[in-house]
Amino acid sequence: MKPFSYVVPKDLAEAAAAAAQPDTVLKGAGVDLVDRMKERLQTPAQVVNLLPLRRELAGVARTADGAVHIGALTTLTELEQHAELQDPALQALRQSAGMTATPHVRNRATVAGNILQFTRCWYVRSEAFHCLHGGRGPTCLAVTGENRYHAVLGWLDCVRVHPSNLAPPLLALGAEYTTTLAGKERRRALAELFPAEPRAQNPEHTLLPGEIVTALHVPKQPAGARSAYCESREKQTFDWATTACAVRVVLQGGKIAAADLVLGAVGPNPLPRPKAAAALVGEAPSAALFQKAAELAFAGANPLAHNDYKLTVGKAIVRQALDEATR
Amino acid sequence: MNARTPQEDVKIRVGYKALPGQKGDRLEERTVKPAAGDAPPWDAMTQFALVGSDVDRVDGLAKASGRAKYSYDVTFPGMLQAMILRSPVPRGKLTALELDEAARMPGVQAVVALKEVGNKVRFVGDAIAAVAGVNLHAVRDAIERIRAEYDREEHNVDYLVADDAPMVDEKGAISEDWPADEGMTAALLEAKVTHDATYRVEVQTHSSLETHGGVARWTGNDLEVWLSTQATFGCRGELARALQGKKIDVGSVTIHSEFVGGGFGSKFGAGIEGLALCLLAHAAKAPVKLMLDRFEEHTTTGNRPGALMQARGGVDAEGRIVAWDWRSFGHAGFSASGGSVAVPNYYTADAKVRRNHKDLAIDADPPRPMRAPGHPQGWFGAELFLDELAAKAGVDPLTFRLNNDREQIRQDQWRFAAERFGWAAARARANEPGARLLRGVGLSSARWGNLGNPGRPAHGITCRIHQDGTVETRSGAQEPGVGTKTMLSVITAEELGVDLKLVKATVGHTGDPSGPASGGSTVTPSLAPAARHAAFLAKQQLCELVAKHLGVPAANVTCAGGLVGLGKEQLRWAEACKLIGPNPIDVRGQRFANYDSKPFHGSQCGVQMAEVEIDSWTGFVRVTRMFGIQDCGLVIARKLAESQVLGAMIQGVSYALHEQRIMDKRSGRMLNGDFLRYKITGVRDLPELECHMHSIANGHDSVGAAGLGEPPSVASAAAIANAVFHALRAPVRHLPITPDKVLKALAQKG
Amino acid sequence: MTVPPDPGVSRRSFLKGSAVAGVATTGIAAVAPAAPAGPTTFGPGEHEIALQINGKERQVKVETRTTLLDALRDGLDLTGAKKVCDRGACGGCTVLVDGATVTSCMTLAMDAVGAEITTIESLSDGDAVHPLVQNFVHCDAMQCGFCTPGMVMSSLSCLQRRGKPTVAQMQQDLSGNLCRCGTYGRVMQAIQRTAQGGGK
Repeated sequence: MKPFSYVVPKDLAEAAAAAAQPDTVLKGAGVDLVDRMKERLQTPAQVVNLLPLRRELAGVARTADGAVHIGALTTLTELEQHAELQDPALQALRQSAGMTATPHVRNRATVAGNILQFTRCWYVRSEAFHCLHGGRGPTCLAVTGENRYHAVLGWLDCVRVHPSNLAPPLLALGAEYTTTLAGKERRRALAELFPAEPRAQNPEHTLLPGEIVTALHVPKQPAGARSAYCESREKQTFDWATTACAVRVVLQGGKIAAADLVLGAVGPNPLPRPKAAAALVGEAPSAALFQKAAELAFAGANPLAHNDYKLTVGKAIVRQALDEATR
Repeated sequence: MNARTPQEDVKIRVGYKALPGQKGDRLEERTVKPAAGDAPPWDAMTQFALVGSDVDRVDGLAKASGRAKYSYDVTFPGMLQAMILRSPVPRGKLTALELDEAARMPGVQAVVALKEVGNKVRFVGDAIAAVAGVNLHAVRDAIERIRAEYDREEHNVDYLVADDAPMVDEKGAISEDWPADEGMTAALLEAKVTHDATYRVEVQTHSSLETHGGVARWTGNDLEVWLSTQATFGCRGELARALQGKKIDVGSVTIHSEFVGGGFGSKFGAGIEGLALCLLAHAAKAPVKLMLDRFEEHTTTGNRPGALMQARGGVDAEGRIVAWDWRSFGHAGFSASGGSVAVPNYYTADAKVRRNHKDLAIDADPPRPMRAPGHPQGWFGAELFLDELAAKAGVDPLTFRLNNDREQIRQDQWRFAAERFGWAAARARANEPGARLLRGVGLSSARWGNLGNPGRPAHGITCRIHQDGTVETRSGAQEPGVGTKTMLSVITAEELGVDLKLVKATVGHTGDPSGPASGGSTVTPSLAPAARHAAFLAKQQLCELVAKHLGVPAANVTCAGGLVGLGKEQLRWAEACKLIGPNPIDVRGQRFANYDSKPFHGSQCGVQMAEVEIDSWTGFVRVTRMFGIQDCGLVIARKLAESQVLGAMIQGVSYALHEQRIMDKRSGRMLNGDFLRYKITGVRDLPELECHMHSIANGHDSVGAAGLGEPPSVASAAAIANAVFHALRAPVRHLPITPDKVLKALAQKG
Repeated sequence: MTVPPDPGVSRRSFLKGSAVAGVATTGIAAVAPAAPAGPTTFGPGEHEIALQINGKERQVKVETRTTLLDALRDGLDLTGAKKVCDRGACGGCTVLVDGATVTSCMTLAMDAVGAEITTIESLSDGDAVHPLVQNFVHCDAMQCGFCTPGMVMSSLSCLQRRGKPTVAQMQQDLSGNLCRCGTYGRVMQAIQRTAQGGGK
């Protein structure tokens, strides 16, 4: 790490003011940031420590309208264990939190930090390589290099994958996020946090300089809603997902009345797959239906030299998630 | 016990009692001639008080409490930290090196060049220069200010496209014709069933948790180095040679290595990091610590090489192997050696056999020995080939092994393991049609041959008995986690007949008697007899003191069970030791040559069996259980011996399923040189593990012990690969068996 | 939550304008007189902080970029926690922060100010040893021993949280700890033996 000033704000206003200063980064637990600072990929002059704001920005609570409010600085352990999330409609969120990284990481890592992670692409995350991501080089090195863990869907000029575990279930549950910027609070659909065009030049998220995520909101789920999150890995102990799928279905009278399906770890954004979800609506759960949805979820895939296995594995994970959600 | 020196021929019993559930002891008589002055041999009939029991690791508390000081933990006032500048270029020449700006950076105390302008650069990670400073931040800041320039040459880090590499088809099979050999052609023609297949393994890194490096401190011309090493004496010589320019004699160098956080074969040399650390400490006139970071550990300290292997062979109508043709190609890094592959030879005693190997140079970090060098690779290829051949011949793999394995010990082990593991039932269980989860079981043999060596000059052990009744046993050799201190303590306490608590073992300081490097499973068989000889000599001296005190002939005094004396006149150990003056009894035992007579066996045998469960949808393989039986000569400390066997099995799971170095071909740089993406088996991937220690009296020296670094590391990956073959009914011929390869095998099967 | 840096403003010009102050409540020794308003800023140079370690307050000099692991090992000679991967992937540096396992290599020392830090050194005092440590020895839950202090700390957290953990719970709680020698099975035996009252 290069030297930096460490700012301890007393409240959100102070944090926001500091965040607006140049060459400044915000730090929750720092799981991702410290890694990049150690690699000297990020060398800010100033780091604003948000952890003192946990009093206002952490915690899970059911609001009057039945929605769930999740403070941005809630840890993944808190999320995984919180009583409000024992609801089968929110199961996917709990499952994805529990599968993230290691217990050590989950004890510190925050919800916002998880969603705002940089990609884990081994070319992007090494000081030794200069690729198109962030404008450091002329081309994407992974697209013609080693890409077994890279994107198969929705990529444009950069085959990074979005590593967040929490984003797929939050998207499937219709979550919104709140930010503060220059004293103004804004609340938007979570999908807007991710770039519409996930190009190499674009960061993994759409936050403006100085903008701070303060909370996530999971709307009240309709009666009969169920969710599930599944992921594939190469080992069971601490691994990055090779594919992931979050689904939410609303079951009514033995049929799927509504569905959302979001893929993770296969594209530069967490990827909602509305056509696959639509195919489920009005149908009774069955292996054949899930197979059809899985095929649709990966329709238009564009795998690379070393990662076409992700299509087979990913489809299996979609089927498994649907099976779990409708069981 | 008679304390006299035996020099006569001694009749001993070697071998082993029937394994549990089996009939018939395998005991034989031998006549051995111990060296003059050596302790009389232990044999299959010896009743032990401590040897083979469940003693605790003697330094277990130091380790589990965090008190153990590894080289990484050594600190001195004013100590500096250091780091090495590494080449980003895989092949070329250093054309410029300017260190001045780095040397002027705040906190920097010394900068040394490790290459001169004009020197070759051989791989990404080749050491260029090193910096020492007040902390690693300052050092890293300074490293960035070194200007190094290179003439870059064309490079290759993929041995499969090296100049001498064989042609490989799109399925990964070697497509070149086998070299002509009339005998082989004839043998294959005569065979009833033949098979030909290509196998491949990826590069595995040792991944010792304590990285390479250490701390150096100069006092005038005397140099002390706390080094994370598997060879204290080797490193002392290496450093003295390298420091000749500083007028350093070998005798002025002391290596300390009391605790070592793993080595697995990668830590035999002090290496460039060891030299850099001494040079920096000399230049800075202050102690310096230099420990590699994880990326350097993965990329500059050796590896288990990748290999491409092809086998063809055939069996006759009786299921006997009649032809065995083998060729292998191993990656050898820039050194162009070390990529070799070993294969079992005990299945093919009557077959026409041919074996060839070629090392292929690439512009990458060369291999270093890793637990049973060459064996896990070759056994994977050979044992999977045998299962494929057996399947073609319609023979059960176990039956196939029993038909062909010429080693009697392993014949017993195969049957024992099959019984314990439930082989027949597990093998017969069919996967339900259309089932998502597929189960399978597989097996593999193992062999490792090393009965220790006397050393030149002979390895020694110091044994001291103090006035207060405490005993020291000391070796200058190191202990990378195998339990050497416990072994020395147990042997010493057994020989003296005292409580283990009275014995303190110390290892890892080159001021103590020399011992072997921790390689090839040689330390235990090399040092156990020396420890015993030292205790035996010390005991004689104590008996003489007691004899004098009691006024009885020394020849008849015994020392056993905490008592020293003759007949009814016995002194308790503590009282006897009071006869020792302020200076302790202080003797040096030695490792004599192995007995001339034929040992019970020349190599250790083992068998492992594994069960897997495969998700046919995702290709995910889980090893559900494993069983191993391992011959280890005389078991000295049972729990520790089992730990090594179980640990080797877990490492085998990791090798079979998870580990591979992934290189970026364009840059020559490893992409997963960390623990985030270099995948090592963790606790949730742990199968149910069981092992049986097959204790055998081998009769090759006064103890008959064997090491366990290598023997249990040979079979695991092969047994798992065979279980995968059984589960899928299609082989995955390429380690690690990752989901993509499983899915491909299933797709190709149709 | 990361703000892209603005390349138009140099670090130096920013630092000139930044307030440097200290507050007693954070446990961080004051660097300069407290500014009337605005956040407290430390560094980038070296300064002293107080850490609550094993029930005692310890002063240690750090930079803002110093990790908790380096503060413990280099600043306080508490070398039980090991630096192994230095990226939060192996658990060799495990300590408890407010009772929860964390990888101290990825935790800034500054972030640990005000928290209760528990290290492996707290589990033994001369011959007095925590039963869990004793059971690691009894079960031979170690070989080279380099992962062992971290394993012990994760095991301790597991026992504190679960009382009598199941195998699945132990596997869950140990899944951040890597062992190269392959001691996992015996680590779980040591936890179970402790849960059953052994090792006292």
